[in-house]
Amino acid sequence: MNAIEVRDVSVRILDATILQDISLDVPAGEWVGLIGPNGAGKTTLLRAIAGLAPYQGTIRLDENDVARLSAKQRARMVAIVPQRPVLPPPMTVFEYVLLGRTPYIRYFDTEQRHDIDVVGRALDRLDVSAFADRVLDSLSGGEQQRVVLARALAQEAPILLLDEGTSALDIGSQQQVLELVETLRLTDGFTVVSAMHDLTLAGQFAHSLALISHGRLIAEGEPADVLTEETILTHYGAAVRITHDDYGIIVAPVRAAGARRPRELQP
Amino acid sequence: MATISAAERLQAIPARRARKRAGWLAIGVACLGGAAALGLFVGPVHLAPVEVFKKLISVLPFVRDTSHLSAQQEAILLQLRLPRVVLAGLVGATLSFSGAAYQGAFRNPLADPYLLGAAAGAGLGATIAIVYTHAGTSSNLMPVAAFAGALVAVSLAYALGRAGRGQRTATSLVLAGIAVMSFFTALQTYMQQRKSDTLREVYGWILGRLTTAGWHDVLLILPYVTVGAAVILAHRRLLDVLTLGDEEADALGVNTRRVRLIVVIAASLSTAAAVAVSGLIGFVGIIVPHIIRLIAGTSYRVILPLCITFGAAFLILADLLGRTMLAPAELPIGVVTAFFGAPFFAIVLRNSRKML
Repeated sequence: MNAIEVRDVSVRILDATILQDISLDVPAGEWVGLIGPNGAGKTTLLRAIAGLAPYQGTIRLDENDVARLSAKQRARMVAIVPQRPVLPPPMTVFEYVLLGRTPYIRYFDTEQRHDIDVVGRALDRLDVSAFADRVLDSLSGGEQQRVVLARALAQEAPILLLDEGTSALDIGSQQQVLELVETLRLTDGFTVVSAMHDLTLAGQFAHSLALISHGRLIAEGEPADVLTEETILTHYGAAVRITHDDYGIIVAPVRAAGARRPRELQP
Repeated sequence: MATISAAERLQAIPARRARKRAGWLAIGVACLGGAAALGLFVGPVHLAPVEVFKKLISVLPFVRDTSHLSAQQEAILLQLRLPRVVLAGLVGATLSFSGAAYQGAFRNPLADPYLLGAAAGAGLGATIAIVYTHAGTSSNLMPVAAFAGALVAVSLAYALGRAGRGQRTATSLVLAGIAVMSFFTALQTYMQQRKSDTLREVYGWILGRLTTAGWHDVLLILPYVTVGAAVILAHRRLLDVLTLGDEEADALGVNTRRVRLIVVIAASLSTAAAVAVSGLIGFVGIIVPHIIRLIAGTSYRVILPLCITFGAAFLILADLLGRTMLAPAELPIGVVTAFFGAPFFAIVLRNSRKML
């Protein structure tokens, strides 16, 4: 069964076409990576799936039309981790993660015992329980990223959308966060769609990749089929060498052909 | 065992926060009580605190009046000082919680209750009432005209505050408010300059006044202020969600535009009512919420209830200073709030280690 079905989705903002006729299926429990150069439309596609950007076409979440869901129903089905989350400096980790329970609280009501239990489990899963009383401002980048994930986890939505959440982190923290997401996917059965800049990480973590360029879906399929030296040169304008290991693909940037001169030929 | 104790520790956090809130609220109520008592005791005519207390509780059913106040003292207490203290409290509370509500709805720490042009609109309304009516009738008409002017200005700012794509963002609303404010202030200045003989009266109103406060003023604003406060308090949790910004609050299932609209309407109605009876009292709507943020916490569940008690206490004390410092003359209350409020705020800001 598909957790997400995107059919002929286009997004126009004023006169600019951001996405053009995108169709994409994400099977339940799988990890799909969205790749493509800056400005390709990856973020807009994630926002459309989360019901945050107006679009033409159809998007279904577990066979429910996103456009027909109420804001609360939608927020219970899909959690999004934005590229640059707003972290109000004086808010504590506990208060911040508790905001993830918003879709379950009635308009004039407040959080119940159960909500705090869910928050506690989310903090434990991401190993940030020790910071519960710390203010967001005092955390490192990697810790903040885990806290934002904890908030998404507290939302108890089966679909997790990650918008290049790790690109600002050092490589150790990047790996740690992505391994955490993978663990959550395996144990809790999340469906994950993540926009990724690092093509090696994309090739290692995602089951399948969708390459978007200039608002169009260029290629879709297994990482080995999508990540080729030609497509990356065409759409990113980057020269790379592709190798493989046990977990998947390694994409290494190298100097472009025109600029590359063997050392011995240099004057 | 470790996970159980961690879970229990988390379950204890809301209770701990509630206790802290209750503690601050008790301090706020004590401050309000103290300020109100001072406001009643202090004045040109001495009233003994014990007698004042006896008189006040005699209003309650089944309590006999055992006070020894003369008829004149009783009139001073019940018809002059008490309504003035109550009105100052209501206006101070209103400006404070409206300021906090605007700051939350617009995610802008500099937002004040006059942000969308309520002050300029009320000023224009009051000036029209002063300039174009006879001296006798203008004092009755002024609150109504100021209230109408404030509502017209805020509605206009809201109608204009659509950005290019037809969306009202926080920024486009603020900019529309500034445009409306400038235009209404220009109109008001034009009218006031044409009839320079009323200049003094207009300025007296602009600087704020509670001099003529009576029970009719209290009754006039009470419905708006109560409903406004109830609506805004009911949205305190959602105002906390709004601190994440529209996009993330929307992603959490909150209709941000509707929440902002409701909160802004409630704050604007309350502000318009307060301005109509008190004139323009500046600074309260900014400093009271921020002092509370600095000392008690940044969640709107803390800020909003405390704004009501501390805002009321602050304005009662400011009014007390205003009417006693230069007695028998009165210093406009707007001057007092800025003169004492600004340095106090600066001290709190400097000594605070919290980030706003």
